Amino acid sequence: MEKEMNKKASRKVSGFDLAIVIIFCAFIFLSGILTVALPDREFSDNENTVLTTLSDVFEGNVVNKLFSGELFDMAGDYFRHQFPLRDGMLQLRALADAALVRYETGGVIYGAGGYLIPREDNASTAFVNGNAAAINALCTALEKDGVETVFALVPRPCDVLQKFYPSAYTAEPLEKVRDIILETAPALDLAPVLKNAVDKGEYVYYKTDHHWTSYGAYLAYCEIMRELGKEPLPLEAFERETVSTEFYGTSHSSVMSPLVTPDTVEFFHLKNGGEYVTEVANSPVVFDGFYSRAFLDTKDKYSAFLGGNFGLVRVTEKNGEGREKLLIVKDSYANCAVQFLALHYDLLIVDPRYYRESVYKLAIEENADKLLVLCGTDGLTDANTYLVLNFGLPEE
Amino acid sequence: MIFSSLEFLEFFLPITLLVYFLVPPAWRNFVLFAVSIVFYGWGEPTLVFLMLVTLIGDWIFGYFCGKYRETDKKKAKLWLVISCVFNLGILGFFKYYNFFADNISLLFGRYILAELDITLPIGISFYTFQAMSYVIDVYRGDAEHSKRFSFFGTYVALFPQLIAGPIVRYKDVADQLVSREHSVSKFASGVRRFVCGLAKKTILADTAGEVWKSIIAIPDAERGALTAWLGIIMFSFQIYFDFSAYSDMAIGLGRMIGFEFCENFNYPYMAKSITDFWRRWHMSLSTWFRDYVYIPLGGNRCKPLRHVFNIFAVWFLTGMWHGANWCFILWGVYYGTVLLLEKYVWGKALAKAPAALQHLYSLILILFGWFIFESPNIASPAGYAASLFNSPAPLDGYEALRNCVLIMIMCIAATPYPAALWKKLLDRGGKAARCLELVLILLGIVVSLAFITASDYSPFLYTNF
Repeated sequence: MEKEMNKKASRKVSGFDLAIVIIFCAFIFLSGILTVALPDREFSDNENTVLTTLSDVFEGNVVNKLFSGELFDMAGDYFRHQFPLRDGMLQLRALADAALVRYETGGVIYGAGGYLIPREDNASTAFVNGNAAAINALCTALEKDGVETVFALVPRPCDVLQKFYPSAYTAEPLEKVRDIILETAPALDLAPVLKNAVDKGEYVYYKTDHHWTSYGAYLAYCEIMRELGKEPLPLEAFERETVSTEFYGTSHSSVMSPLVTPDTVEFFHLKNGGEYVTEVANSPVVFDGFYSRAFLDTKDKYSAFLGGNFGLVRVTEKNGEGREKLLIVKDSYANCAVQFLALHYDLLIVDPRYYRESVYKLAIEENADKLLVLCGTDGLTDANTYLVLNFGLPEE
Repeated sequence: MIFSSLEFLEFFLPITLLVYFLVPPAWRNFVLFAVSIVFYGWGEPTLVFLMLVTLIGDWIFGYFCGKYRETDKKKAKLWLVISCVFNLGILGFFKYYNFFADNISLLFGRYILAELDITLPIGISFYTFQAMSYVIDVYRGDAEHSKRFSFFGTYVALFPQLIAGPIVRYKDVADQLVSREHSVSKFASGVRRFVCGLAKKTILADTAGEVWKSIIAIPDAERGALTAWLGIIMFSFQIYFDFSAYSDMAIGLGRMIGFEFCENFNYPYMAKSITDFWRRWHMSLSTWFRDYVYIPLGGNRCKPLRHVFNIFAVWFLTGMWHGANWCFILWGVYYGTVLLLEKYVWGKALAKAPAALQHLYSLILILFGWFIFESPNIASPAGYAASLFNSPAPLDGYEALRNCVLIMIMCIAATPYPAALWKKLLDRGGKAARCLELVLILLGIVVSLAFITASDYSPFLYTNF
């Protein structure tokens, strides 16, 4: 009798058990259906990466892809990339890291004051020497030809933002890479002046991006001008325009945390300044001034400076007579310094990541008066940025 | 395909469940067999045929073992031997050939056997052992020959336990293959177990694994002692949570489709001795070796010298089962030695020691074991071992601090207390506790998915064995 009753009791469905089953099934069925049914996103602005779509998965020779296993890898990417709440999921992951007091997400440290600082303490030093030596050789070769040269080294966020490190993060190896570069190539080290400004509480680097602010670039410009033997324009000579207070940069893309506060982007206009024009070589891109304001409406607001990175860009005075010509070999840090340097020189701006010809030859052909190599320490260490720089110097 | 991937959770699982519950009950095993082939073929589209060869072979051998076991013992034994040669031959070739060839060359100082380009089929050690258990059980009369191929195929290829166990023995599930109960409460208990495993894998194991990976990447000279120890502790947690999470998910999925699989873990880090540890760690493998190797060799009911031989034979094989590498064999023999020492030398003294000391003793030996086990993945094991005694490095404190909450959670999760407490809460809490359970399950799914979405591909460690 008792057995019978037990059997009956066990057969009775508990409402909570039913709820568990329904929740679980609803979740897996719905997320699957939504992933397939909703239109695919090809690009994530927030993460700044290309996403795999269903048509990518079935593109090309499907049978080959099936047997090589590539089809399955891509299908896996597809489900992860097109998950209906992908952005929310990434934010949740960042929150979980915060809840577990892990101090960082995706290799980016949550510093004090809202600063996101990419960790570089394990940065490889394998490529640094080669890159520094290539820069040094370019400078030496052009100096022989009578060109005045300056190599200005831009510090990484972690090199200047020590003030905002979590107290337990007492990394020393930060100096390591910089010392190797300075030993190989005599450079104007911009770190002391920028760090000094950070320590005084000034807004020199973005909180959510690895670049410097316009003010940071202004400080660097002053140093560079003095190195070139000229007096920089005083800060009061500029009118500062706040163009965005909603900038989420590259470090934010790595963490995607909802707790991050956005940055402010400023343009510096010389009061009563002249008019300038920016032209990208071998392309129809031409615009007045130094800014491409359309980027201010996108996620990638830093690209408003000079419109992003191109192989070769000229910045000249509109209807100008032609001033001293400064050749800048640079990465993206320099884009923001152009608004200052262009006030003194006609600029010829080369980005070795995209410029495939000989930089040396360009300098000679264009009769450059001065050379400024302006690039970030992080670019010189990263294997993916340049591999090893090659400026096409003449063989000796 | 792995359980903690979106293609499994959003695509494979819903379709499988839908088809499974829609077809007439008589077709269900066939459906399971078919989807399991797809499950295996996902990512291993060619090696799935190798598994089918194993299946067909063992089904035939099982048939003859069953046919002759009552009438002609000799013939039955012959078929058993053929089956063992067949299974171990395939396993030996695909998993151990290159290891063997290398060592032969090393021994004679010149090339004798050429190295071949062989891909290790995922989970081959698991499914081969299951298929072998079928033939042996039929031969011994512990189970009947399966009349339908799809039933036998379902037993071996069943996707929940196909690639990383638990190693289910045929005699334990033979009845369930014929008839098993499906119910809402069983399904719900499967969901509970599955979500628990999913959270363990994605939140704990993968995070611990990330830390371990970052720590082995630090140059040996720059790694502080504290960080080096932290690394090994993290790996120990990773392998436990990774593997036991897989078993949790397998058991949970099994329940959803009506199966009841054996447990594979019983809080191994709570062990009071190494003997105890091996009763709690990967139990299905230990039982397999006990039932099919150790006891047939005579177990411990023989002269001590023979017993020593038996132990070493089993542990040599256990080590080797994990991979074609001397490190795994060393790891197995290491445990064999400790087990013998516990049995013949200090076991009695250990049993009288204070509990804290027993735990400490076990954990240190286990930690050391994991170091041997993981050494093939460390660039320089000797360099890493030396760094355990390095002077402090600047980032020691930071690494320890940023992982301390995680470590605390993992320490607690490795004990039976949270489960016991939860059970008490459910017993006394009534509806409020049940509601809380619902919320936790939902939270578990969502947070796990957040970790999966944010991470790159992260396979289970044990599928490589």
